[in-house]
Amino acid sequence: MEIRRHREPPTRSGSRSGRWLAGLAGAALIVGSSAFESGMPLGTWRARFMTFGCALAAAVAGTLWRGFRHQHRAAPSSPAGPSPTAARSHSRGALVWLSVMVIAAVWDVLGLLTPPDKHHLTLSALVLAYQALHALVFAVWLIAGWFLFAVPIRRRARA
Amino acid sequence: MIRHLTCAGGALGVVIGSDKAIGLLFWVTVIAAVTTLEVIARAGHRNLPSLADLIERYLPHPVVRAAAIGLWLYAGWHLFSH
Repeated sequence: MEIRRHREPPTRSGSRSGRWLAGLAGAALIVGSSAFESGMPLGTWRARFMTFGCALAAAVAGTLWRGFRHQHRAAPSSPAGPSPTAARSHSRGALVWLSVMVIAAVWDVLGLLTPPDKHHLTLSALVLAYQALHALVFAVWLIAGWFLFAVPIRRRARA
Repeated sequence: MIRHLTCAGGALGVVIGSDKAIGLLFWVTVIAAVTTLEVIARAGHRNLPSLADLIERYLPHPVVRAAAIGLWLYAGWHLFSH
């Protein structure tokens, strides 16, 4: 049973290639800004401006994408909402995501408890130690921010 | 229990050669797992929600979403700016 309730109308090849190009351009910007930002020394105003400038760009891009999708979105195929089977599948799938997040959170907390003579294995300590990880985590952070702004907000409670 | 776990992690780090490398391997694995789950969800091969589905379902209200965005900004400041 499919989880996604909304079926998008068939798109013309022109708009599809346009979306691909936009996606590729966005990916290139994310990779470029991550690589550039990771080379900056932490604690400087340049790093702060770069970080929050990229955050602002992700927020604007996500908001624009949300507006674009809202204009081109088709009506839901099932007005009654998801079936109980789809809802159970969704909950099971959400548990998979939750387990990954819990494992990462537990590791990070345990990393805070390492002895003083050992290197902390927390994400923030390792981001300082490895520039490549810094760039990778920065890219993931930007993408997460884009999602937070791009996904529609429910204005009214569902009946 | 926690001391044993951290000591075990440290011992594993000695075996591999570096405890930092253990941490790096772990976080790269987590990022790879998240990416894989997202790709599987987008491809629609299994009934797995994508990140967008999760955000739409569990962070729908403007106040909750604003709190999540605040948390995201704090994470950015903590990891990349200070």
